[in-house]
Amino acid sequence: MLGRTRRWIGVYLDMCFIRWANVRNEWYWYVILGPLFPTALLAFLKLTGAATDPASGLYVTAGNCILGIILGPMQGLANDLAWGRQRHDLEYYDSLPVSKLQLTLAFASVSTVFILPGMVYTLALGRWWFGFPLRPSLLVLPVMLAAALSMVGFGILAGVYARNIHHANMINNLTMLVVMFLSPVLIPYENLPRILQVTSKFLPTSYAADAFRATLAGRSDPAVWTSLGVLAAFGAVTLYLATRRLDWRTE
Amino acid sequence: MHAYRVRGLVRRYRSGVVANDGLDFDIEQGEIFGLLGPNGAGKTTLVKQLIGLLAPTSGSIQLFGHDVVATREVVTRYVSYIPQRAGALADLTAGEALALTGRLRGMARREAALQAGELAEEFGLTAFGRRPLGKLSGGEQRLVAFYLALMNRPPILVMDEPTNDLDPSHRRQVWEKLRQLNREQATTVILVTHNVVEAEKVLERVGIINRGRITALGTVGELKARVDRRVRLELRLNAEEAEARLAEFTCAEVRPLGRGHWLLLVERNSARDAIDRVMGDLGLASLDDFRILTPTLEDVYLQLGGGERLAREN
Repeated sequence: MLGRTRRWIGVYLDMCFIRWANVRNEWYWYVILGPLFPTALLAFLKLTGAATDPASGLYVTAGNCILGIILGPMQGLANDLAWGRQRHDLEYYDSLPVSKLQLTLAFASVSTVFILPGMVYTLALGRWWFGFPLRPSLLVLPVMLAAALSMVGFGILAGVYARNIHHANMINNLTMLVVMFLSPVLIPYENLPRILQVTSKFLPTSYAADAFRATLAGRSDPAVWTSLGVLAAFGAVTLYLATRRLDWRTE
Repeated sequence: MHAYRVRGLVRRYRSGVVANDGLDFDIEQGEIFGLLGPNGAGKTTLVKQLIGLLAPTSGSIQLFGHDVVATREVVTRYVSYIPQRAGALADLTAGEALALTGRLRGMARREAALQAGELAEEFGLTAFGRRPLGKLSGGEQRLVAFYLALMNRPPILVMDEPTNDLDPSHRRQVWEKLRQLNREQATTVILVTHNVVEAEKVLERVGIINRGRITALGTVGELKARVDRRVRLELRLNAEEAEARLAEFTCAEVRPLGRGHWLLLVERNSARDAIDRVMGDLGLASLDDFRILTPTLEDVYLQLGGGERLAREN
């Protein structure tokens, strides 16, 4: 049992290394481009008066961070799988005694790690501009992890069903619209239309945003645990379906 | 013992195209088996089914007695398949890719590093240095992909066009390595290739596939016995009077191949007479080139299956 676990982790780490190698030669693009989107979005929200005080500042800054945590691994995986299928690169993994779960977790893990510097930068910028206090509770780390994994199953679905990399990009743009505007990530729940208030309950992004804001403010009450549980369950079920039930094979 | 046993294999795509249409064949353990056929014949579909990447529509594939579809682990355990390029590892160096593939195939870290180092040293892959595979030329990438397949010394190797894009010296290196593995480790090799002339040097048994069906199956010798066995005398003449004299060669079927370029097809038992007449009647002075050829695997391929589609492609 111990040997099998060690082997499983070893394979997972080797897969992480492959994904890491994909970005190690071009890390500077991540450093340069990573902070651009959150900086532009926070500046836009501040200059248009959408966020002015510390409370609304924390709302949009945390929303901005959670956007990256959720979308980064999901979109990265959709692109990687679509590109890999298009170029038949996935046949390499298919021919080895490795599981789809190891592959997807490794790719999602590296994508998540690459989001962290941009997230820290966004929090620092938001705190400087809006002056909100930061008292993160210990639950912030599991919340981030669960948030990162919550939509990975959808990333696999997009990557497996996209006909090519361009198709995957279009699907990614669509999911960004859904996450940004159809759930209370950047727009407060109260300001959403009634119908979206109902549908947002079915999106893991709502729970991720709520839990992340709460933990950044130092809370670790039952509401946070509930959101964390929903996120973890959502991620586990979708990941199971995508890696065990979905046929990845192409014709 | 059978390595693979294929029975009634059919693969029909959703588009309605039947890529494999009722295939029955065995691949014996320790043999070098070639799968030949023109583009679109169904070779790649068959290979993908053999390694479990594609499920058959009907029929069965057994690997060492285990059903490939039901127990895919048996394929990843015994079979090493590397597609034409290892694009998934495009950002790794050759050394990293070899060691990592060994580890993913179950080798211990130190053992994988050692074998990767040996292979890289033996075949000059260290010359690629720290350049990632994606930055190497097509031929270099193909060569690395070939050596990736050898990590952890698998009992069965499935190779898809292993010598495409390679220069002549590397092509020879690949064929020699395959022969060596088969001879010293009894490695079963399943080879998909268009390069019939070169493959003949290593293949023991051949299946020719066309339009999803196996049109010929047997050892190279058996298949050669089924085609036109006449000896071919290929001449390049430099004098018109010598060409005129060819009309008197009643012991041979004479075919023009080009300007001054002729082919004489003669029965085996009259080959010696025909050769004597070429040397005597035409004379060495009128011959720029003279070759004596027996049927090759390429002739088998062209006559027993691959020819029709190949002619259309050209």
